[in-house]
Amino acid sequence: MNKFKYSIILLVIISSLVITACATGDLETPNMEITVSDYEAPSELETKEPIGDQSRFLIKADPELMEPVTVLYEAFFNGKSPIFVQSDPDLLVEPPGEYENFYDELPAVFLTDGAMYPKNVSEELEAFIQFAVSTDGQQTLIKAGLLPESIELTDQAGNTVSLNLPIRDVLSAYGPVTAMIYSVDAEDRLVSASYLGARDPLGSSVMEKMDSRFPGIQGDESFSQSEFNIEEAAMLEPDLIIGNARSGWLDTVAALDIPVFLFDAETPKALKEAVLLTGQIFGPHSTAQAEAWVRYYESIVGTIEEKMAEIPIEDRVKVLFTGTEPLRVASGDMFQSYIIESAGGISASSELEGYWNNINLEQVVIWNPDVIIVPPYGGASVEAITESQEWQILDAVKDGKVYRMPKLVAPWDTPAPDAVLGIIWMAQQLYPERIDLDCSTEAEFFYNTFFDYEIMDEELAKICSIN
Amino acid sequence: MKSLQKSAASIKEKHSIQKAYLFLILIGLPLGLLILSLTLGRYQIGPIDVLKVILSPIFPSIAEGIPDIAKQLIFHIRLPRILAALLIGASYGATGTAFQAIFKNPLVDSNILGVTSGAGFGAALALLFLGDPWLVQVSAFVFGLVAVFLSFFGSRLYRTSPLLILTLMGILVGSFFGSLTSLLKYAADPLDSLPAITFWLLGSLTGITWQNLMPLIILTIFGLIYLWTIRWRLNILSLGDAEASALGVDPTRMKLGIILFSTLMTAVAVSVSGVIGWVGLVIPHAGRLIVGPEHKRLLPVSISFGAAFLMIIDDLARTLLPGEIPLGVLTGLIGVPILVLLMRRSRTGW
Amino acid sequence: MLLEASNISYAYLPGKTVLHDVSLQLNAGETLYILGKNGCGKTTLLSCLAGLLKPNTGRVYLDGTRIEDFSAAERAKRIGLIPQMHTPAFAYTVRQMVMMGRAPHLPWLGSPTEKDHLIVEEALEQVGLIDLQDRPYTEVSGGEQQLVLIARGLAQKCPILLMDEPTAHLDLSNQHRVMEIVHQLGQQGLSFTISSHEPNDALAYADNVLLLSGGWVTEVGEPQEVLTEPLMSAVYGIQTEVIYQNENGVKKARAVLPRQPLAVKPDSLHEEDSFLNMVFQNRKEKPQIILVTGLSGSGKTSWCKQMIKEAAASGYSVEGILSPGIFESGRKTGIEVVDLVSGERKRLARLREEGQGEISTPRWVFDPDVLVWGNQRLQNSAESDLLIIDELGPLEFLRNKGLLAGLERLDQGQFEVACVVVRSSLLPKALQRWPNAVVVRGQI
Repeated sequence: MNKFKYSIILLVIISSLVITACATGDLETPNMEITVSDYEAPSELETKEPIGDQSRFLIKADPELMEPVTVLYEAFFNGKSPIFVQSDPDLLVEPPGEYENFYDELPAVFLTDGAMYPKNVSEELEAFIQFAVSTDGQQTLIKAGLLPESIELTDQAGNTVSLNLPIRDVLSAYGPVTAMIYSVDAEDRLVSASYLGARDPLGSSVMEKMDSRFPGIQGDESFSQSEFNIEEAAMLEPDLIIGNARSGWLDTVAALDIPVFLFDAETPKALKEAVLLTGQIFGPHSTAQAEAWVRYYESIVGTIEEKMAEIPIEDRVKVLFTGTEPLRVASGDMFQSYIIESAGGISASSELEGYWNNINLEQVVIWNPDVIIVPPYGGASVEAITESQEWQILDAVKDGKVYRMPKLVAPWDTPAPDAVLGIIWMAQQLYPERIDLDCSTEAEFFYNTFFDYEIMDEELAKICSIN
Repeated sequence: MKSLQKSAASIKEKHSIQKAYLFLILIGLPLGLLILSLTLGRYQIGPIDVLKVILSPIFPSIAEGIPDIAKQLIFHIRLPRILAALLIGASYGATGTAFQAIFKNPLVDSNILGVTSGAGFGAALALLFLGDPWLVQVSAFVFGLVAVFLSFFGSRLYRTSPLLILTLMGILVGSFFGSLTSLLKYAADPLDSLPAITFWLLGSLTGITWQNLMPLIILTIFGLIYLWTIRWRLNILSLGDAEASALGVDPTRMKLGIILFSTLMTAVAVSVSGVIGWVGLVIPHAGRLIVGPEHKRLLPVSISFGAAFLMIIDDLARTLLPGEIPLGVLTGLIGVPILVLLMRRSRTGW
Repeated sequence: MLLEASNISYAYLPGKTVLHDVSLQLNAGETLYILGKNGCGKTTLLSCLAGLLKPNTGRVYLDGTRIEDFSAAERAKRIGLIPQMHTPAFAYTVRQMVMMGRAPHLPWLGSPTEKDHLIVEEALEQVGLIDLQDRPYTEVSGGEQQLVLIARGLAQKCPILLMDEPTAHLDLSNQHRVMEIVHQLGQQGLSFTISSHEPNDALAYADNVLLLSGGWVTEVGEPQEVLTEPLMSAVYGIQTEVIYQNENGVKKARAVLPRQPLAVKPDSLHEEDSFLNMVFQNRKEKPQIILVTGLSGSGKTSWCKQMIKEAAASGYSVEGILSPGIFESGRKTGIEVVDLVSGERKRLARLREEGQGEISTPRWVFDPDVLVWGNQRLQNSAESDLLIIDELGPLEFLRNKGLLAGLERLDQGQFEVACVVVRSSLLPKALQRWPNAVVVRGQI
């Protein structure tokens, strides 16, 4: 009799606990239904009304590319067939060419070997090209069997991740990769993301202009390197979760049964690999963007290397990269040291290991750096060094060679695509007579090409002013 | 009566010789270490050059040919830092001795009322929201005092066994501020303010300048003078309130004075250096092993040993590796084995 | 007059007064002993006298001045307190401990000087500890520790020393050593106020004795007048016996001892000149209460039953009540009342776990009707040679309930020989009520 009574009580307690847990968690049933219906809607392809014959554009395509173009055209214009011509086309479709000059506009790459080059721009044509490189375009090509339904990629933690394409909704819990997603033109696929450098006034104002969805999809409170709100993630139902390979929450996420792709980009090589992987996740167009960035990065580094070849190691400028406090410096393992080396400098603190190291001023005196760089975050300031009585013994301080690393959104010393600008800026600071790269020109091109953002003159002046 | 005077005279003679030796050691030890420490550092400056530089304010010609940077290092980097180590060590040695006496407990130090936890919270708060090193120091100092104030007046709410309640309140307030600090650490950005808070809590003298040394010098010297003058009366306080009162000492007023001065000293020390544990606990024990528990002799020994101990620890912290080793880590690693050894040696009582 | 307390009362907490209206005087060279049970307020009284506690009412005068008008140091120059022995947190040497007595004579920030060292050595010499001066205080014997504290009082150079149980925890020889030194210091003109548990010491060394009981002064006076059997019995709540010695023709008290319960067998009634026989012989002129005592289950009721039997056998009339236990399978589950005249039995109490009632103890619940009946039996019964009341317990003594008629009859003397069963823990209460009662062990 007693046993029966106790089991009833136990049952009541357990069920009330379950009810409470369900009521307090984000996993509420009604919400889930709404989310599902919201999500299903866009999978119906958005199609355009058929257009009149007069306004239809003429296409010249490689024979092998005629089929994919027809598939896209029919899907976009509601069953109408495209008009192919041999000459004088409005749209030229051919394999993407070799790049001679980075500063040319990038073509719309809709297949690995197919790119669109508009010749006579019209509203319809622009919309069509947009569609061709969009997620819906990607899905159309997959349906037609022209793009793979799934791919297998090895992430930077060494795991093989199988992805069902296209990736429509991605959750990025790692700030640098969020920046990479913007730079491969896939930001419309973000459902929530952790940002790098988007909290200060400059970063947030630029982000708002760059992405109309911005403050809405900012998820730093729930998702970051250290935090992961699993219930919130379950509610968002992403196709893919992106994280840092060293995050502590990786085990918990496994319960969601959503593919997780991990990044670990603390060296230039890993950074390039990371950008390329990001491109591959999102399809041919993003891959082309990623490759363009890698080419740009390598050409910049190559240019500097070429110029520096004449300077012997001992004559190179010695740079100390300090942290959020003057006596905390970057170790040799950190990305900051690679930036210094890529820019032709010598990292003064390269003998240190690990993360930021606390040191004493005497050690700085021994290193005797020519230039000191402070980071653009964490309240670090040039004045904390230049106005300190004690630091006056250093040549770099006496000569006024203490600079602050610039940033627009992502700080230029972090392993994000913007790091290439960090290298350019630093090279310019270290060897103004020798290096003829110009921070303003390159920044304008970089943000225009990879972030589709027209940087404003006052922003340029703020970040690229020579100290 | 004659024999008495004779024995007193002989004891006096014996004592005065011992006293002279002891005095020499007590003054010589920290002073010698001060000069030795000035010659130590990652940057190589020969001992002779260091001496020349030290004497250069008196004999300007002596230091000719020594690079300016060496002079700068010695006067602006090493000297303030070594002085800070000396003062903080002396301060912890003295306040630890005084607290052990008034709490009648050889296992407490001036942190028992929560000053360190309070200061840690104050520092974390300032590191998170203000960032300016000077404000960090001020905030640490203020919250250190707040914590002791809470412990002290919290314990006044109870009438019974005030010493036990005071200890308990100290532990409670300490835990409370510890939790608040954990909360701040949880909220802190893991990329910038969190490492700063963590490193501060481990203790370091790396950022010492003449400017933030000044409050330390002033408060520590005042506090040491106060504790020095009342040191014999610590014996009487260590017998408990009732006995002290019967011996003509007002225990409440006297303890208030000691807690006030010790807290000011500890708070300013913590605010400059971060959390450096164990010194106030270990040093009085070492002193007792050498001169016994009598506070008239013990306090000077604790001051001298404390100063010497922390100077040695700081020398290790700044010279062993290119990076700084947190002081709190070293005092624990070295202080705990010493304490265990001392406890073995002094089984007979404190 | 050095020290005077007039009508002082003290309460640690409001409503819990531990000292009531205590007055005493101490003259130069006098030794005053304070005797009393544990918790009677001796230490509190000493603390008030030393100025450590301020009485709620009344005054303490030192040299004719109110003690609170002195500063702590000035007070300590006039009166010293030697606390109960304890182990200090730190192992000071004997010399250092004694030196602390110099505190009131030193300026606020000062340390001991040469003169202080001489005074300390003199004090150590006086108590005979000069050879131990560099030994740690914690390592000398208990007696020596007490002497160190006395030497500290001497170094304090005050005319009055208050001592709190100086001989507690000391063996006989150390007690003697300490008290002889105290005595000699008293001869040299020092005044002592000593709280103690040793009435014999008071007989030997005190000029005056103050008896303290429950915070009230029972009596003050010279030891020979104060340490009498009735007063000591009242103060300590036990029967005491004072041993006298003939000194040059004067009968002088030398020792106070607790009187043990008599071991009396009921059948000794028939023996000529036995205790019981005498009691019954003299019952008309000198009615006698016999308290039958012992622990629970020791046979008190059985003793009474046999007493009744023996008395009846000798032809004495018996009345009163018995309350034997009711046993069920070896366990006591209730209490009965038996009227010895009518032989009527009623169930008086049942176990508490079986029910509740207005009148109850932690173990038993009593039937109010049976209590009324029992009281009627006790009130109405005729006079007889032997009155048996079994038993008077916590209900009657502590809560003013139960067989109150029994208490009344005994108080009013309506008996000749009364055998009353009282458990050991309540014996002090019973003796306080009937100081002339004789206690016997309720064992056959």
